[in-house]
Amino acid sequence: MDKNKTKKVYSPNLMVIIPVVIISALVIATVALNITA
Amino acid sequence: MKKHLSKIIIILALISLVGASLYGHTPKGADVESYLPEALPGASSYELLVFESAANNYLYAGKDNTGGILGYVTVTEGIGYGGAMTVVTGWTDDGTIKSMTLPLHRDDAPWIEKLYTQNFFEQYLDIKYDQPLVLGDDIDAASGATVSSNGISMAVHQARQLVSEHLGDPYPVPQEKIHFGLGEILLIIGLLSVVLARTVPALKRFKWSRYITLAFGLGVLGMWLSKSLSLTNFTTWFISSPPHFATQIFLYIMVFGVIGLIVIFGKNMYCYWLCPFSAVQEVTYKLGRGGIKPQPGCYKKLRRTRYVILWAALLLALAMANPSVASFEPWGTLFSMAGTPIRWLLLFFALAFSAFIYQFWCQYICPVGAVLDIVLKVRREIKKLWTRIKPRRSTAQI
Repeated sequence: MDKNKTKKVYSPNLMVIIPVVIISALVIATVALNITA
Repeated sequence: MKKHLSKIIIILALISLVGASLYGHTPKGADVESYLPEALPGASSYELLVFESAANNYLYAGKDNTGGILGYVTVTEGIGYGGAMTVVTGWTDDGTIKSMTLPLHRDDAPWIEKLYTQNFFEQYLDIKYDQPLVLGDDIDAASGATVSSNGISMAVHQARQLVSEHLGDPYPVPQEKIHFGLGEILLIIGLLSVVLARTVPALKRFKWSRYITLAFGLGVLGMWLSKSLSLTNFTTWFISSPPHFATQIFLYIMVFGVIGLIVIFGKNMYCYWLCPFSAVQEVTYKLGRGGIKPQPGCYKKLRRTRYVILWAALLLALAMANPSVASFEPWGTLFSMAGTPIRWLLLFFALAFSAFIYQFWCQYICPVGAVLDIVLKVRREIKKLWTRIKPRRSTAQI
């Protein structure tokens, strides 16, 4: 079997890290607003 | 060393949660008397007539300058989605409701907003204590906020009992019937369908079974009932105000059903199989054609974000003794179509990222998934311990 065919292709990690950071920041903002509401 | 470090972090996290819980449970002394002037304006003084410490219910008489009774104010509690709700009701001297406010609650803001926009409280005004006030018959529950409506209805029944007893014509709190209807039946069917799809060998091979259960979850739990499993459903138990059993049996089936199935089968039957938000992300991923995948090491580390978010959310909810402060999950906004601008923004980004990263919310953010993963891990550890002890016991018996 051709090994290249089964090899998984990964994206640059930053392409997932940045969305996780953005969403975490939005979660913090939502909770902060819940507290002050 | 690495193993020890993770153990230390877990122990510190648990200690901080216990500390937050202790702080949250210290009595803060709610200033009940500050509610009175708004409930019965015009009274120059208020006299406490009844205080039921077990139920946290108060009955005050509002008096004018001459000492004559102008009316009454009740401060009573019901159980909403996130726990106790305090309802303040102003009554005339013959027991007619004149005002109603909700100064304290633990439900999500969008549900409470629905009560106001649908004029839920106005339905009670000018009704005398001897009317039935049955939710669903005499009073309409706010659509999309039935659990909160139920909580307020419970509080009003408590208030009516206090006033009617004082007026010498007792009207006891009616016994709640257990609400077991189509929603509860469909939830059980949904959970059992996942069990069959994941345990029966013939169905396990059928790839579409997961899409069918996801579509079921989206239709029933998301679009119809708007009741997905939420962190609030777990935190209410730690804050010692569990949901009202008779009216919220759905939540009991959901929480104990999902946890029970994990204990029995060692599989999470909810996430990726029945969760309506997971179904939505499956669609967005297909539309966005996805494809972004981090390297395994990074993936493993990023998955821990869920535990950090869970810890922070639990810490806040426990310290403030209010599960709704830690409520941020985007499905509430999506399925109720109500929420603050920041919640809409969170929903937008969560869906946008899920178009490129498979099940983005579930894999990296969801605290509910983290709770269920912890249950799975605890089960695994107990099983491991059991298999270690069992051979020793059987050898000892020989």
